[in-house]
Amino acid sequence: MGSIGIEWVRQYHGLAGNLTNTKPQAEGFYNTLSATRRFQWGDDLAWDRDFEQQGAGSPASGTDTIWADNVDMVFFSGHGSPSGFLFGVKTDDAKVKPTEVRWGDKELEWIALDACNVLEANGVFSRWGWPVFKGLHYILGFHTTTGDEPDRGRLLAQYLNNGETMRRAWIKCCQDTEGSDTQWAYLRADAPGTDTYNDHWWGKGSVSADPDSPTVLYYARGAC
Amino acid sequence: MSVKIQFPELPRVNRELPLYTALPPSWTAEKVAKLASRFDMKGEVVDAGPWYVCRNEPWVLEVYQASHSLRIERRDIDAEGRDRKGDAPDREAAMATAKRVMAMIGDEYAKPELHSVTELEVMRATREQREGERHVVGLQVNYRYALDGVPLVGPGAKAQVSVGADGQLMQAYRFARAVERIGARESVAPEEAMRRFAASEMVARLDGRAKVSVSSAVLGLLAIPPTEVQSVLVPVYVLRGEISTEALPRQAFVTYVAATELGEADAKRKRWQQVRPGLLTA
Repeated sequence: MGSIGIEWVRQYHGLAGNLTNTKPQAEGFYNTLSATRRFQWGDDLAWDRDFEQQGAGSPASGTDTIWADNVDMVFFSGHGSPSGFLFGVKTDDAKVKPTEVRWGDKELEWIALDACNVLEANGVFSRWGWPVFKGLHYILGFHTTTGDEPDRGRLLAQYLNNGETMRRAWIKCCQDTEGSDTQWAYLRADAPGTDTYNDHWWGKGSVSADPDSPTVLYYARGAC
Repeated sequence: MSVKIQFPELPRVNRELPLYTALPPSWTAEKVAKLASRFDMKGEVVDAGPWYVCRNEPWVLEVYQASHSLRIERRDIDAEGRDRKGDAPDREAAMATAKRVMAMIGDEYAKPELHSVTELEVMRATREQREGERHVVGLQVNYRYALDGVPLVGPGAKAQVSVGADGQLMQAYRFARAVERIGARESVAPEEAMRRFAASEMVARLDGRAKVSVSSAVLGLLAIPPTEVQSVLVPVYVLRGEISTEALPRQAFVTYVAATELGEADAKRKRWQQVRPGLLTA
């Protein structure tokens, strides 16, 4: 059985507008997916460095080997922008930037960033592409603004529990929870001998070997 | 110092707004099998929690148990176009396919109105070509719904037909609920709705350096996700705009503010569910 963690932020202490539904959204994922639950941090206990690699970028105080890169799948719910995703407290600078991230060199296979615009198409490979994927299979996210809504995490988990592939499960739960002005997006990696296109959740179908050194990246988007 | 908010010209709203109740669906495996036959599908219907699912390779039909919604999908195509069987169809061909599929799905709950045609885009990057090569692998024909001239808003009232490179259907869904008009309710004045928005959690905690701009405010009937039980289509103001702070200079938002008073006690007496869905900001 795979392992999961979640982080969510409602209180931004003036750094950005507060959100309402990030907690039920992330907890819906956590409490529904057939998985071993490892961590759930919210508001002031959700930290950017939980997602960052020690020694990468600036500030270089990452602890992802304890948290995000120590489980198979992570779900983050909060604010975002093309340059990163945002937290409510400045344990270092309150923002996970792609330059601070190396995912999958320990455990992480999939990460859902339920936040606006993180996977905006323009320049996506140079932001979230080559240095970030170190065994990671997918980043699931949005090209556009997305709603502050409570159901998407639970629905993602339900589709995965029902044996849907990772990419279809993400697209479907986005269709179920957004208007068609919103655009879902994902970024995935492949390498010789891997097949992440057909990835399922652990125990629900095939899971590819890790693309430790990806040779190709795919980005897809569409209207919800 | 409190945050400054810029408001748009506010809509004119009648003193009363129509209220519609959503009728509960009565899906059974037999009814889903009958629906599947519209698509020439025969197969066992399985109860998969929020959905009834009928599989008949290469097709899958999902029927939402909480609403009158469905999705049909073809499973034998590479949705990223890696097999490169051709370019995306032209707009006219996609719209013709969409019209045919929408006729098969049926329009018994409301008339779909064509809203837009969007692209399913895939970009592929390699070590040698790091910025990627772009392909349009399909077109999505998007529809929306309205009741008596009031648009249905939110995720639970829309339809989409995706057409692939071979000109054939990739996926289609219709998210809808059968409804019945049950009267009218006194409206919340737009000025009062803006005051409630300003007092909401999203805005009220910002400091005086932040800027909030509401670019549009329109009236609609909120339809929540098709997976959820909904008793009443809640009249709402749909506010779109942007919040600017030092940490997040351009935070676009879409939010919903109630346009009528639907109290919990009233809802309980009438056995209504979800009159204050999580999507409502205020």
